[in-house]
Amino acid sequence: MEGLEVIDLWVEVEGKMILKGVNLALPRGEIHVLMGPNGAGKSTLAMTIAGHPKYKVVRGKILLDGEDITNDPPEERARKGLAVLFQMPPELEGVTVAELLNKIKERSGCKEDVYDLLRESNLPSEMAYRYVNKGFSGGERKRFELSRILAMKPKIVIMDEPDSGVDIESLKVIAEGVKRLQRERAGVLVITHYRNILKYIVPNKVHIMIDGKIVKSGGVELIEIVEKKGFKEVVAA
Amino acid sequence: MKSPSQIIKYYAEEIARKLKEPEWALRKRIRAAEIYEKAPTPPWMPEDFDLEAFASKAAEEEPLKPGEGEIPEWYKTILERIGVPEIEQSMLAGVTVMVNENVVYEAQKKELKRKGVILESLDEAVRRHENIVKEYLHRAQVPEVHKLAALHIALRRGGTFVYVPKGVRVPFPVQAFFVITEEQLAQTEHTLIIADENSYLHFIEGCIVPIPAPYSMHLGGSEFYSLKGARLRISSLENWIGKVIHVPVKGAEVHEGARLEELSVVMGGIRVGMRPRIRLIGKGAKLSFNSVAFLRNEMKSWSGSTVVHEAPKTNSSIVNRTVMKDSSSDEFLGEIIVKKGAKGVIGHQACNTLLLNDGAINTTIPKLVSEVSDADLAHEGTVGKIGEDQVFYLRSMGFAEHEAIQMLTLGFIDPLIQDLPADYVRAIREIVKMTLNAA
Ligand SMILES: Nc1ncnc2c1ncn2[C@@H]1O[C@H](COP(=O)(O)OP(=O)(O)OP(=O)(O)O)[C@@H](O)[C@H]1O
Ligand SMILES: [Mg+2]
Repeated sequence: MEGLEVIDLWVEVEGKMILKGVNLALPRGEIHVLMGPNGAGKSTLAMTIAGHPKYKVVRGKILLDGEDITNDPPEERARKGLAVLFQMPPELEGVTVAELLNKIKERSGCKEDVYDLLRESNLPSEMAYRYVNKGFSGGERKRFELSRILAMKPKIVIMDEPDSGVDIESLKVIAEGVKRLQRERAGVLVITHYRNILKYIVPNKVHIMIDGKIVKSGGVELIEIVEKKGFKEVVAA
Repeated sequence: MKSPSQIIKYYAEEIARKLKEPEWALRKRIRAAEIYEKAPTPPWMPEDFDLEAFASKAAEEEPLKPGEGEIPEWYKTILERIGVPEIEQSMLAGVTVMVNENVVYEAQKKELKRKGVILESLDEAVRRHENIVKEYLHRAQVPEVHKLAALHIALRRGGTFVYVPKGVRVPFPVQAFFVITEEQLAQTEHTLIIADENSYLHFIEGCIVPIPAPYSMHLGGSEFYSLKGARLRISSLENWIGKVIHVPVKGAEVHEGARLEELSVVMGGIRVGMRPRIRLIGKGAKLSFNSVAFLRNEMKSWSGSTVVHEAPKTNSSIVNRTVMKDSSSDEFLGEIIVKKGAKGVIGHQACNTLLLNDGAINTTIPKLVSEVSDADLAHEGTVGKIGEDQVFYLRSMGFAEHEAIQMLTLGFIDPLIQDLPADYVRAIREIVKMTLNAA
């Protein structure tokens, strides 16, 4: 399949099994939403797909465009077209936004100007000379994440809560980014707790994760059930 | 057998004679030679130090400089890769004329002359400007501090003198290479810079391209005077190739309402010992002293500074960032002293060390001494590795681990060097990259 496939994925973090058999298929050009209670393992899934060394795959595999990337180092996955928007991206003191974006562009072949990439996320051009994430507000961090992901020209994007802690303007900017990625034929998985972002994007599928497993997949109607009755009811429904 | 002081005196007299120095200058040398024996031995004094050999080399006829034919091919490659500032290039090629004929620098030199700025070799200044030099030479950099401080004074030779008259603002950074070529490479060169009342100067000393030293121990010295209301900015850059021992002696004075902003970048060598002593002697004097060091292989370093607040409302800020690799070691001693009567003092220092591998050793010793009760003194120290989260974040964007480490290491020093002229920043970054990549 062209896209991301997660097959029977079991993942351990510091001796504790967090993911217990996750199955997920995200074709390119589609938008999927992943919801679930705090601690369900959503970020763990994102970090495992990204290749964080702390997250140990005990069983199962991850495929990108049909190729097994389960044991690839993180940079290799990124070069093959995977990008992850961090829930809490770290500060990079001394590394300017412009420098980082230029280096990413060099690798990905992105032709867009640094200022244009910032403008895509509604960030001012002065931002180019600041250190990455240093002193950025919550919304600025998420928007910068979007800019650098656009510079990567990815095939598959996992966004871990791109919409938490952002105001309505930032939310729209991020939703526009998701749509642009979709137009550029990327598959996007949006991890979220809120339906707000769904005012602006139309997901092809919604997945519900509870206790390390995807317990239900379906259409947008699942979100309504979650909102009205909670996660437990979705499983029963 | 001759005593150490007698040996030093002998060569001090020889140097003074060769330089045709006036009597007062010789007396400073003789006094330092006498103090040598009583002065304490600094911890960075080489165990096998051969006084006679060192002194006789310092007194040799011509300070050595690499001739064009002697510059090895690999060295030229380095120069090309780091994109050396043009003026440094001509100096390193040993082609004095190129510097002198360079139109831009020639124009700048004319402008300095028109403003009354004195810019010449210190040896010449000692002969020609007694009225200024005599008062300041070795007042901030004194022989009593330790043996090497005394030895430097006795055997001083070469170096640069800059005097900026009252109220004169120099609108462009002045580089040491304006003045001299081979004298920069002298073993005991001395830089004396005086920014007179309400003047402004940015002086760039040393050079960032690797210096192939024609001797084994560099005992340079410097003194910076920021007089009442002046602002003096100093950027010292040093990058030594090979087994050089680099132990400069430095001192500075900051007067009433004046500022001294210093940046020191030190790379290379096998043994580095340097603790400048800076006195804030006028009310409201301000000091900002940033230093960046890159240590690798078996390098041993003794770093830090002594800041003495002698007047009320004086303010000092010291930031030291050291990158350590292989089995290098560093002992940072950060001393802030507040003298009686100096009310309302603020003195802050930060020492941040980045260890790139196990096996490098850092020791940080803060020493805050106050004779008044209301001083606001603080020390912040961090020693750590590059953050794993940052490395992973960059790897997830497609950068290999070594690229991530390189970016973050450059980032670690960037806040301190970013105000330098752009081609210096670029050159420093390239050198750090090469050093990181070297096995
Ligand atoms: N590095 C870690 N060390 C120890 N436990 C961890 C680590 N990372 C995750 N966990 C644990 O794994 C479980 C799942 O965490 P995860 O962050 O994946 O949840 P989540 O679904 O993203 O939650 P939220 O909605 O709050 O972001 C939690 O119990 C968490 O404490
Ligand atoms: Mg999470």
